[in-house]
Amino acid sequence: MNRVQCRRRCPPPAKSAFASGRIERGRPGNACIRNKAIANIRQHRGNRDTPMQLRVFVNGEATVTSAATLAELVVQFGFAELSVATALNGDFVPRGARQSTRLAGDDKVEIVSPRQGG
Amino acid sequence: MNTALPNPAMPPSLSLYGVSVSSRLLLGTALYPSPKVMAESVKAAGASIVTVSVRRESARANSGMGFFELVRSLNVRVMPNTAGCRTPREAIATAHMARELFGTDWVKLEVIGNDDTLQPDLFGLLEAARALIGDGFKVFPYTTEDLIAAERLRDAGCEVLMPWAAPIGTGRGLANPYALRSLRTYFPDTPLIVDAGIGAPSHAAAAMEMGFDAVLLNTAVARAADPVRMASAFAAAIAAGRTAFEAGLMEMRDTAVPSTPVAGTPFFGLDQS
Repeated sequence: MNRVQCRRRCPPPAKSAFASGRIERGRPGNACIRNKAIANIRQHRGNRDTPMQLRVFVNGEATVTSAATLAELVVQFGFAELSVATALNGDFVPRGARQSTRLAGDDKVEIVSPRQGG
Repeated sequence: MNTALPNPAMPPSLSLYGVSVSSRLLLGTALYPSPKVMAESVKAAGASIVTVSVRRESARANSGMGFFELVRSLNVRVMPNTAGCRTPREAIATAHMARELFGTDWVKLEVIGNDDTLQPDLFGLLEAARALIGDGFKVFPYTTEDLIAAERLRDAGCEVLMPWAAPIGTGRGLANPYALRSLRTYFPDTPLIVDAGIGAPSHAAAAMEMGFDAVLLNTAVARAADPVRMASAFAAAIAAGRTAFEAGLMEMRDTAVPSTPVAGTPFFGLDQS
C-alpha cells in the first residue's frame, strides 16, 4: 500500500487506530488517514483525476464522497475502523463486510460508537 | 422450614443467562455531571452490570472509545441498550452494532411506542426479541407489567424480564404495585429486574421487598445532588429490601393487634366504674 506522508504536524492518532494496522505509531493523525485514503482510492481506480462522486447520507447528513465502499467511506471520514459500527439503509453491516459493501447514490449510512446509556 | 431459609452471610446469588451476578443494582452510565462522577458512582453502587448505548459518531471526534475505555477500567459487565429505537428493524440493527462494538451478546431491548411515556411497544418488542434471540442474543426486554406480554417474551426465549416501575426518567416509583406483585407471582422462577421510573432508594427497596431480583436505574443517581452518595444509598436500600424479602415480611392486617402481651396487663378486668 502506498503510504502518504503528512507534512503537517498532526496530533498522534487515537489508540484504537493503531490496532487497526492502518497507521503506524508516530504517523499522521486522522486528517492524514483521509488524505491517504483518497490517494489510495485514486490509485486503485487507475489514477483518474476526478474519482466518481456519490451523494450519500452519513448519520443523517447529506455528503458527497468518492468512496466506492463502506470501508472506504469509514476511512475517508476519519473514523478508526475498529471503534465504529455501521449500518446501511437500516441493516447492520458487520466490520468484515464493509470492504465488499459498495455504495450507491442516496444510500443512508449510520456510523456509531459506544456512548453512555440508561 | 428452617432449612429453606437463606443464610444471610451467603446471600443466594442472582444468575442472568447463566452468569452469576454479585450486585442486584444495575446502573446506567448516562446523565452524570462528569465521566469521573459516573465512574465513582458505579463503584459506590457496587454495580457489576452497567448499561451503555451506541450513538452516531461525529467525524474526526472518535470520542466513543474513550468512554468505553473508562467503562472497561471499572471491571464491570456492560449491557448495551437499544434506547430510542421505534421499530423492531431499528432495534435489531442497533443491537447488532452494539454487539460488534461492545463484544457482548447481552442487550437491553427497547422498542419505544410513545414519545411522552417512552412506553415499550410490546408488539414490536416481541418481534425484535424473537429475531435477536434467533441471532444468538441474550435479550433483556424492557417491558411493562403486562402478564401476557411477559408470557410471550418468555416463550420467545427471554430468560430475564425487565418490567418498568414507571415511565423512564419520571422517578415516580412503583406506579402499579398490584400488577408488579402479580407479575412476580406468575413468574416465580424468572429473574425479574425492575427497570425505569425509580426515583428514591425507598422505591427500590419496595421492589426488592416484593421479591424482584434486581433494580436497574440511572436518572435517580445521575441527577442527584451528590450522585456518588446516592449510589451508596441505593445500594444499601436494595440490599435491605432483598434481605427483608428473604427474611419473610409479615402479613398486612386491617385491624390493630397489640404487640405487648395482653396477659398480665395491670388492672385488667377490674371494674373501672
